[in-house]
Amino acid sequence: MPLPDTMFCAQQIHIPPELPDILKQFTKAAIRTQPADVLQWSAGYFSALSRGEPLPMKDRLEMPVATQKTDTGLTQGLLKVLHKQCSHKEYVELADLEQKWKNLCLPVEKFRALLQLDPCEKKIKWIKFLALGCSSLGGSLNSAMKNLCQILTADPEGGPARIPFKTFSYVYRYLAGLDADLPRADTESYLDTLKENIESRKNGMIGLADFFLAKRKI
Amino acid sequence: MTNLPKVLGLSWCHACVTAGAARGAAGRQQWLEEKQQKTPRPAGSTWAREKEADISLTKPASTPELGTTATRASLAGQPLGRRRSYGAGAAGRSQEPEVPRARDRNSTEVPRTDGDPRCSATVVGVAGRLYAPWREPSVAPTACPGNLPSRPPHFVSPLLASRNPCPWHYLHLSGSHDTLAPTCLKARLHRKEGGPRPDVTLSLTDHSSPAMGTYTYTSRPRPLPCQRRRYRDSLLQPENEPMHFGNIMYDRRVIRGNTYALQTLPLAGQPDPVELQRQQQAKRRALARKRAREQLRPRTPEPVEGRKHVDVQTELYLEEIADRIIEVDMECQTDAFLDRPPTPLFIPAKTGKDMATQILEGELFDFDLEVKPMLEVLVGKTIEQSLLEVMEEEELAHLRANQYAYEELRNIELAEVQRLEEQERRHREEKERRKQQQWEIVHKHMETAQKIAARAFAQRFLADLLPSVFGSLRDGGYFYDPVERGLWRFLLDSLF
Repeated sequence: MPLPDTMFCAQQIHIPPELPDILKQFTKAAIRTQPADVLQWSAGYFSALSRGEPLPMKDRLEMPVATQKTDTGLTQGLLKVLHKQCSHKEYVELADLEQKWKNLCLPVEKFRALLQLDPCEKKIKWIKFLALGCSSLGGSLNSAMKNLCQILTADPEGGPARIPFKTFSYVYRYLAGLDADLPRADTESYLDTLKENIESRKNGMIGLADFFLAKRKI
Repeated sequence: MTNLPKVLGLSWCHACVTAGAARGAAGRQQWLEEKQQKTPRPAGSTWAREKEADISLTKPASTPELGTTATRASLAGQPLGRRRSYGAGAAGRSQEPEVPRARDRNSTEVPRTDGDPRCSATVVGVAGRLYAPWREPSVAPTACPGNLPSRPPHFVSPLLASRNPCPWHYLHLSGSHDTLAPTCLKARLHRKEGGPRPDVTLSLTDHSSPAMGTYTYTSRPRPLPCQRRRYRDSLLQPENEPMHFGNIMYDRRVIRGNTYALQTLPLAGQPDPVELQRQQQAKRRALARKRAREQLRPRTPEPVEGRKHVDVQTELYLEEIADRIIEVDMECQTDAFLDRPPTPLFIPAKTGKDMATQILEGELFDFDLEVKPMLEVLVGKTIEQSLLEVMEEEELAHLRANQYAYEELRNIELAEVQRLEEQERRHREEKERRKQQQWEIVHKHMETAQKIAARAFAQRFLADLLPSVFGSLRDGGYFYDPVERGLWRFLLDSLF
């Protein structure tokens, strides 16, 4: 029986059946991501949702949220989100990337500052931008590599976080190249020792324990 | 004139009659003309005429003699019938042929011809006044063949009733002479019973003419109402008719005189056959006589082909026949038995009051207001559930991450343990090997020392032994020359 035109009671209000689910997923995403500007983030979320792209949504709730006052506001989780959204292409458009950056409620100035480390035109290799982002998370080169490993790895969280040694050495060389203080010979020797270690036991994968723990131990 | 209505009526009639006589030929001539003008006079008309005559009579000179004559005539009783013809004078004489005709009418055998209306009217007037009270109310021959009343009507005036000890006689007489319905009287009587009749009108039309009757009377023709009432007044109240007491002297059931001469009845149950036969014969004879009498009576001729006889009232005045009570059959049919219908659901009667209010569209429902609780539920529930789910998933993910981290640590530590174990094993093996080596060295040392000691001892021990043994053995003869020994042995054997 179709509903009459006039409404008499609250029971006649029709709620689309898919609305609660969408609303719930959105709420969950918002709670997880904890965006600074919910409206901006929501625009990005729903545009991504409507286009069928990966959603700007953190996989894990990050308790120590970046405040954007003392640091860049960038966190490993946000970088992971960006990686999720952009890793399917080798090169990403800067405009596109900036839009995604904005959708994550990150300040554009930081984006520009990041790019000034490695100036480029229009598009940038995603792995490079990721390496830059990792380096901006703070800490030494080693911690940057740790973050990179944790972002790039296919292993479950908390696992050995292994990545191919090729990628590792590429990023390491790239980052070491940006840093003028590091002599090239040291880099190569370090990489050689790591390579020996890895090739002795594994199938070309380098894990977090291979370089980070060792460092800590020493 | 008396004040009694009945007596008054009677006196009127006689006045009429006498007036008719007194008027003479001129009056009669005018009367006839008048009659012919309005020929079929209804019942009331005669009465009017009488009235007229009465007035015309009493107006000029109401002589006491006339009045007394009338009174006397009216109170005459039985001989009045005969006397009337004389007293009536010309009118009475002129209506002489009328009498048998009127009598014949009762038998309905002679169809009534158009008689002289005047005469009959007059007769009716006279007769009615005088005799009607004792006549049978219904004159209809079909309904009441005997024409004899079973009782005198209760409206008999006391005066007349006292004069006639036996109403039967009187009635018979009156019936034989005048059988015309006394319409005037009837009208009067009915008026007395049921009040004045509106349709009977009397009017004095011409006041100026002194001698002639100037009354005109008009009345609609109507059937005579029956005197017998159709219905009893009530079922509970019996008709208050006076008991009919007959004279016991004439009652045949009462035996008078002595009873010796009476025949004693035969024993009951055994009638005398002779008596029986006689009775039967008497009965038969009576029957035969009756039949013969019936055959002798003149009868109505058979109807012509294509017609048939119908009973018709042939009286001058149409009268309502009420002998036979009208019966009407009424039927009532109840329904066939039906199954009892199921007991309907009990619905208690509504209590309270119904009130109504007009509500226009949009007055009752405010979407923003109505949607609020729903939205609260929707949002609140969604957030709550999302929070719960996020927390749960976070917890799970955290657990898993910790699990993986621990697994990683464990892997690392396991590797370390393995390494240590291997190292330990190697160390142990080395130790064993070295112990063995040392042990072998010590063992060799000891063996060598023992050997040296034994050699020295043996050397020292055997140093004295050899010469003594040789000496003893030599002494024992163990060292000899086999050839010498052989020779000796041979010599000795040869000697012995």
